Amino acid sequence: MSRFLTLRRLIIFGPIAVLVVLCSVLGTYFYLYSYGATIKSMQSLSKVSAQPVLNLMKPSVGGGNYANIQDGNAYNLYTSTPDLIFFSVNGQTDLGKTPYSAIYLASEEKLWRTAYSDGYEDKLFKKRNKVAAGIKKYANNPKRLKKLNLMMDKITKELAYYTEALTMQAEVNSTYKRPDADDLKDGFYLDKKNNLLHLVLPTGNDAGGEIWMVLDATILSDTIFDVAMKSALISIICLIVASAISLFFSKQVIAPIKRITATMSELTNGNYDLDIEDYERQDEIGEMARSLQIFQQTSVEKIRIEKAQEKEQKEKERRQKEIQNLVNIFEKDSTKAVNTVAETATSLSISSNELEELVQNIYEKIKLVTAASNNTSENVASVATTTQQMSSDIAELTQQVSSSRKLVNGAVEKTKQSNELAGKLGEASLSINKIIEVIQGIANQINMLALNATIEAARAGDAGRGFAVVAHEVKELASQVGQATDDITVDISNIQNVSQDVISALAAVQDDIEKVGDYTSNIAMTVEEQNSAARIITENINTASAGVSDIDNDVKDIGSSMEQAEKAMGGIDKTALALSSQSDTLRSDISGFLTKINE
Amino acid sequence: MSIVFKITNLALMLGAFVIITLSSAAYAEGSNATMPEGWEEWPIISSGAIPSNDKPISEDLPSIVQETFKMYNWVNEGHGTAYNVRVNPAQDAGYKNGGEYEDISTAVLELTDIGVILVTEHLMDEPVYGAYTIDGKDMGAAHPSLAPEACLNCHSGYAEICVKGVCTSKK
Repeated sequence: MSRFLTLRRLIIFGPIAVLVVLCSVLGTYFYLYSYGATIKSMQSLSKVSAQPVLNLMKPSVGGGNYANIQDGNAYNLYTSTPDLIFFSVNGQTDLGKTPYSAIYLASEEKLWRTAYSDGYEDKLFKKRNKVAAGIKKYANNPKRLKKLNLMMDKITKELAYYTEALTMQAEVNSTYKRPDADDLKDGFYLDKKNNLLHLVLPTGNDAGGEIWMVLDATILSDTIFDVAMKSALISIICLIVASAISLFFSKQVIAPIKRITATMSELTNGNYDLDIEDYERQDEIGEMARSLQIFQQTSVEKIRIEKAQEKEQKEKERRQKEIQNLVNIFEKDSTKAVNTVAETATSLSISSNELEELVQNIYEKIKLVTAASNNTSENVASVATTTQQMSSDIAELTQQVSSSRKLVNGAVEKTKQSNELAGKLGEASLSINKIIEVIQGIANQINMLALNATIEAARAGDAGRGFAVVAHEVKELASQVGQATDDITVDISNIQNVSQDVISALAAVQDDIEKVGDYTSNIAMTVEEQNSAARIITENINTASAGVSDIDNDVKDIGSSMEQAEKAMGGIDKTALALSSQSDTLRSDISGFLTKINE
Repeated sequence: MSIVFKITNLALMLGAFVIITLSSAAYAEGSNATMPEGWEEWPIISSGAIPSNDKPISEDLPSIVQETFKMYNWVNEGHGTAYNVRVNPAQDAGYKNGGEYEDISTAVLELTDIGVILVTEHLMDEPVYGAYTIDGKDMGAAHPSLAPEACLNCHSGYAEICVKGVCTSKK
């Protein structure tokens, strides 16, 4: 790639150049296409416009009303063709080879037939003269005169049309010049000077003929201008698009490449502390960035490894020195330690012996403790038995107190019942008093009756003596009843007093019994407390018994341990001797080892 | 082919109708020619039939005949009609000579199925036309195709075979 044709320039100006070329090609094509299409359109238009005339000149038709219709169709086509200036047809009809020609002028918006047979005008003049003569001849015949006037009118119109047609033909001939055959290309000629398009086409009927059309070519100029404007517009749009694309490429490609290049340069100079951008892109730039990133990471890793190796080497040296120092220290310290161990082993042996003696003493004491513990255990068991007995007694007592309580409650209940009965007794006494009062009333009345009977018996004299006896007896009885009721009243009064006393006594008894009940309840509560206390004591005794048993077991274990300790003391002693021996060996080995290290 | 022809036929009929309507406007008053007397006795010089409007017209026929068929096939509700061409014996010389007609009725085209006659009359050796029912009622204004102007346009338009407004082999 040359110095001039850089990638950046290629990316920026490449699309612009391509689009400019493309626009030029398209513009040219568009121009040619539009120009050609316009020409073709005009040619098609001319053929369509000529069609009614062609139909007129073909064999199946010739004139008459049909000709008028064709003329009308042609006229309509011409007037609806805005660019048409002039149209003419010259040829022969297939039927009879009659000359046929017509012209149309858009400026006049009128169609004229211009082909007339030889002597056509003379024939019209002759006809007119004949009709004029007829008018004179039939001046008095209104019917025929009317007909003749119509004929005259028709002839006059025909003559005027003929004259006008010839005039227009002459005007057309002076205004427009049919192009030469050499000037025509595919049947058309563009008069650029006058901005006119000439189309010359064969009529296509058997007898032959020619159609000549002149159209306003402004449409072509307009087309050219329109195409030029559109091309320019498209070019501008393309330029903008191309610039946008270039800008896009510049931002998307050139800028990242420049960044990557700068980054590579920095990496080459050994500056690895960089942030590499664009590595997240999924295109080639992204791949480049990622490759660069890998290169950066590899380089950084390499440097790190080198530094680490250097550091490790230094560390090794440092450790070597340090080991040497440590060896020296170790030599000194180990010698000292071995000596100390030896001394300690000796001391340990001595201490072991002393400790053995101490263990022996403890062992003896433990035996004593074991014996005491056994004794305690027996005592506790005895207490437990006693406590259980006490608990049993308390339970019995509780049972009895409960029974007493029930009895007291029963007595209270019965006392209450007695009290109620005594009350009822008092009430019954009161009722009896009322009965007695009734009886006393009855007795008084009987007494009064007996008195009256006595009085009546006295009035009766002798006849009433017997009755008087009876009345007396009744009076006696009434008196006895009164006496009896008084006695009863006294007795009942006594009963009531007694009942009242009984009630009072029962109330006192009830109070006492309730007090007894309260005492019984207190006893029950106290017994319950005692029972609880006894239960707690039993539980504590059981706990104490278990504790004593555990102590006993522990003491046994201690004794066993002490036996083992005593055995171990013997082992320690032996070990201390072995240690002393081994320290000598160690001293010798360390000395040999250090000698070898220092060699 | 048939459909194209029918469409063309229809277009021509419509066109003829428009033109005849426009051209006959000035003649709305009726026939120019007078109803001839005794035309029934005139000799028939040719006969034929105007086909119904649903039948194609042969292109081999003379153009004026084609146009006549197209112009009048609407009659009899489109079923066409038989016709006779009768020439006034008094005009026999002019007819045979192709001119120098007397100022009287010259010929009739009798449309037998509808009872209408198309009359050609000459006045100062120039044709005038009219249309009547066989009982004398003027039909010149009844339909554009029956207007005198329509007849005149047709005969003058086909000047190759129409001489002095009458179709003949003489020129």
